[in-house]
Amino acid sequence: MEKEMTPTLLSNSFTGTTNSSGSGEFKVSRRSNQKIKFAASLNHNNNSDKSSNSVPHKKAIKVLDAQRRDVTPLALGPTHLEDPQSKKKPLSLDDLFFNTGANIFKSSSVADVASSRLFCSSFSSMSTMESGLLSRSCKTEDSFPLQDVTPPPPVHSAVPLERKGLPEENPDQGFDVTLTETDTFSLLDISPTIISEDAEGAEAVKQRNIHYAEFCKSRMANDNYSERSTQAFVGEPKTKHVQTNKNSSVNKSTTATSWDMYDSLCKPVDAGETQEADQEDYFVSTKKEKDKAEGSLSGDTGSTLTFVVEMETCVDSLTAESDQDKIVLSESFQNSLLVMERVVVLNIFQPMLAAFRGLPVLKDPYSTEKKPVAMEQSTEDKDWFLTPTLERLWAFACPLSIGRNITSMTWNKRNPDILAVGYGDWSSGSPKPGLVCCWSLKNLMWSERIFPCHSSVTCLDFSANNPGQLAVGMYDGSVAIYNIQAKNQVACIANSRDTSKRHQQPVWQVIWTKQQLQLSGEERDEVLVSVSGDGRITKWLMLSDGFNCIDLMVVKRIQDRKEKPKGNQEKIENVLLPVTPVLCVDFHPTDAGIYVIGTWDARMHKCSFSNSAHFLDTYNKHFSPVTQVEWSRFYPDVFLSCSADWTIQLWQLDTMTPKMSFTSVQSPVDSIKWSPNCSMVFAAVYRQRMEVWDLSSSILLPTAVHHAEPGVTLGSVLLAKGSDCVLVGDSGGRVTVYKLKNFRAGKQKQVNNLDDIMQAVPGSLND
Amino acid sequence: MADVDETLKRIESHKGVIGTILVNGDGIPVRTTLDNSTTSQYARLLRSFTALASSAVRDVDPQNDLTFVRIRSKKHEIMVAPENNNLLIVIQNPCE
Repeated sequence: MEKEMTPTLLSNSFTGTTNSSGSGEFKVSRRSNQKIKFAASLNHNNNSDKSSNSVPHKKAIKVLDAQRRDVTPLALGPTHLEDPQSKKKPLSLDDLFFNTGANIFKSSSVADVASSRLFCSSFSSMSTMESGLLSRSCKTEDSFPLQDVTPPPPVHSAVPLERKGLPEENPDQGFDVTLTETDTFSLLDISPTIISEDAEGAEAVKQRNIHYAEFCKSRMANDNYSERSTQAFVGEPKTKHVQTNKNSSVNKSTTATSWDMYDSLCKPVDAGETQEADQEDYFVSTKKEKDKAEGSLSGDTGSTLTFVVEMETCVDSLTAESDQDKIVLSESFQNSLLVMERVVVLNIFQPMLAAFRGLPVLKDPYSTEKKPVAMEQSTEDKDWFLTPTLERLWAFACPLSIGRNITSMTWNKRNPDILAVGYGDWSSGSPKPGLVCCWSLKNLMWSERIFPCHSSVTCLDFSANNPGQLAVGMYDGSVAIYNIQAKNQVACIANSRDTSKRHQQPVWQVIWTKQQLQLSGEERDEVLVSVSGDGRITKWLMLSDGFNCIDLMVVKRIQDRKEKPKGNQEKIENVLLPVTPVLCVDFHPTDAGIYVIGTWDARMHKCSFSNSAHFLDTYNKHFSPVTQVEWSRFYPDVFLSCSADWTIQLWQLDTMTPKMSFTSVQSPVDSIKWSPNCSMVFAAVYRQRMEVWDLSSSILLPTAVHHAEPGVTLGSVLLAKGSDCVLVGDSGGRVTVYKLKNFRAGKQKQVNNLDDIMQAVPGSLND
Repeated sequence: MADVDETLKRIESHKGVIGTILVNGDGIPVRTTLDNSTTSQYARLLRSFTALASSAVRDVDPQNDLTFVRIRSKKHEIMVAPENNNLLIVIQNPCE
């Protein structure tokens, strides 16, 4: 087999210095003749006929250069050799290379061996297994790398690589393998800038450095800059003292409460004012306070509440007075004053009021009083055995009212705590101006409404529909309506002084009554009815043109008393009959059209609204003027009458004679009143005494008697609703409140019914 | 004006009333029937107390407001009517 000498072998790179930048260059050795046909997967036909190993069978690719040398690039991987002998066994790289090398070695000259070995090594450079070998070989200098190459492992070729692509060739003939190395890829190459002094190019580098330094020196404008060092002065510190004013601090805090936020939302307009006020307050108080802590709760409009720790009590007299005026004149202050007065008075009278209301009277545990305790206990023990008595609680009296004769009293229909008292005096020749006072149970010492009247007040009545309206009848015949909710002059909303048809004689009673309107027939409007000394019963109306009245009836005097009218009076004659003063009137509680009047001639008539000419009935029993008539609230057909003939009569509506009669003393009865609580209790006032009758306990004697103080005559009596108290008005201007103690009215008695009582009376009394 | 004055005098003359104090918006007693030191003490203490009470009432419902304060103690009762930052204070001993 021809062998060709490999012209080139190694490049300088193997022996080159480290500073060479070149990569190892391998020249592809050209081997031409001895070819190993690594017929891989390609079985190309080879055109070259130079190769002795051309295998027509195998179709290997052959590349030939100009000299017709085979420069076929070799396959990298083990190619599939058709070796009949080793077909079955897998080929390992190891075997491949080293066997090959060995084979080559065997079959080639030293040079070839070297080259082939080198190539082998180089070929194997791409393989990971042999990389170590090659690298070692690359780095060494001056030595033939081939020598360092570890000898290939002994060839124990399990697979003899004599297989050839040419089966017809001699199997003993070796074949050449040409291995070439690819270019080395240089991935990163940083060449150092430092060389040792011993290096070859060191001198050149030095020269270059010197040259550069000289160049730098000699460049233009070099002398503008010179390198110098300098020293900075470090100043010595010096202490200096400074004095300033003390920054006084004031603590200011605020609490944002929910009402504060609400106020801010509601009144944003006054925020500016508030701030100013704040400022003012702040300045004023800091002047006084001098660095004291100040906390404030911010309030609403106007001013802030400042809580000062120490307050200087410097009261400037001028400012105090103006403040006082301002405060005092404000309405809210007057309200507060009113409430305060009530509270103070209630504090004083608390036990009495408790007794009035029927509440248990509590003893103050810290009280220093000792006297009442014993008395209270003793009386309570003998509760059942004591006779009914009247206990004085208090008296409504104020300086304005003291000394005036009380003529009438009435409770308010809506608010049972309000009492109207009329004062009037006509016993002396000329009638004096009267007074109406509205007392409240909340203020027992001062009347909160005082209405002076031009004439003595004879009667009062509160309206039920309009609870603030009080009708006043006066001695001179005028009727007025006051609105007690207003004060002072605007209170009088109606006055009959200018009315043409007003009464000429004293008005003895005014009464509000619910009256069906004629026209509509269904409305229950309230009507004011008055009876007076001129015999007229008139209905008063608030019309658009003023206060006007309509006569319901004119009561004429009946000449002959012995004629018993049968319900119809004789026709009114043209002759003017003297009228008889009507002293009292009361309306039927349920049937508003019926009323009973009591007259000066000791007669009582039952009248009707619809019938203005005639009486329906006449009750004759009394001898003297009938002073009071009152229907019972519990028994609709029963009424009570009293007169100056010392008697009190109990009547039933359709009976012409009284059912019962009560006499106790020989004194004219001025007034009687039923109790609003119990159907069998009524009170009567004589001139000098007041009696309370309890029909369930006795029908012959009053149950409780109260004597007036000497010099005082009792004028009016009233019983309180919801309370066992009696109010007595006297000529001294005092309304005294008495509690009925030990009254067993209506309790624990067999007889609870007035009807039963009346039945119990044997027969009806005749004249 | 006269009415108010009269009412004040009347209150002061009621049974058991020890004294009345009228305090203005700045906390300065404007009118009093007690001696100076007691007056200033009452004014100062009750002012903050009333403010606290009012704050408590309004905190619960901002549309509500305090109308009257009564402090009942062993010896007497202190009643304060606040309005517009002024205070009307009455001290009464109701048991006498």
